[in-house]
Amino acid sequence: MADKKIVIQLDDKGGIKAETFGMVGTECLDELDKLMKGIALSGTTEKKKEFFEQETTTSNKVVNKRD
Amino acid sequence: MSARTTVESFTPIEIKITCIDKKSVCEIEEAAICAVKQKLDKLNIIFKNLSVYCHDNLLLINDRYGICKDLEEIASAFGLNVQAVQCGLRGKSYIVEEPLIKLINATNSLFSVSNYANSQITSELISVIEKSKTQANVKSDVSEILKEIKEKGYYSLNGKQKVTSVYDDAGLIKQEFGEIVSDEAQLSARLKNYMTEAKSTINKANENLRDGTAKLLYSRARQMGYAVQEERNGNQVQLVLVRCG
Repeated sequence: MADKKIVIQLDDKGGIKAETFGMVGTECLDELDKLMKGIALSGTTEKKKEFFEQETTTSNKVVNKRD
Repeated sequence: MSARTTVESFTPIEIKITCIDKKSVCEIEEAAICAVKQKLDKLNIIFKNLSVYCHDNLLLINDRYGICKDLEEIASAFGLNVQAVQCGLRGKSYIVEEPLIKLINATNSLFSVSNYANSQITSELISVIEKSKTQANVKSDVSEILKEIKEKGYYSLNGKQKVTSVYDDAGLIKQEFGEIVSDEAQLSARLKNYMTEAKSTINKANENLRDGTAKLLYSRARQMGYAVQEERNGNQVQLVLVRCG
């Protein structure tokens, strides 16, 4: 599984910019919400293409069609 | 033949101080209040889990259960003076002092940070806070002048002007106004000095706000299981958070 990475930039005008990497779907927003709660009071969100990707999962279950 | 008489006298005059105006006094006060509120609102994220007492705009923080080990580091990054004290309470206690408050109190004596307190102060804790006071306030005479500028829009002081009058038998024939004697230059220099220091403190407050927020995010990211690397680039602070998937 890929590493989750967040890069945050803070300037001396009070601006905070954060970008996530290795996260798909709403995971990035959830993670940023947890991290910024009470710290960043308002903000805008720009969704990257990964936001619209679905997380794929594989099942280990094998079904024998002849049964 | 007529006799001429020259008389030198001093006449009282009112001198307006023009080196500092109401707008700049109000701007300094508003910027300082805004910075203090932003800092303490952010610090309140950790303060609300601790006991916070307030006396004379100084906060005494008690971490009874040792739940915030980074308190000293985070509050210092926000530019607050943090001093560990023994005050009879269990756990660790600190006195937290915001240097901007002396700037605010110079023009607004009603400003208070007591709304951040969540515990009732006792006389024992008041004496601990009183003993730990280190910060000198803005000199009271400068403070009075600033308050008057804020209220009336100007400050005036009394001076004396030398008047030379020449009389003859017919009466006054010539009058010359000479130098003005007053404390204006000395007072203006002190007010300019106050403004320079105030502006520098406000500029530093913005950097403190950035550094404190970075420390707060650093601490929270570590709690969330991220490895954090901090980098500085000019006016920017960059945090790189990495967690194994």
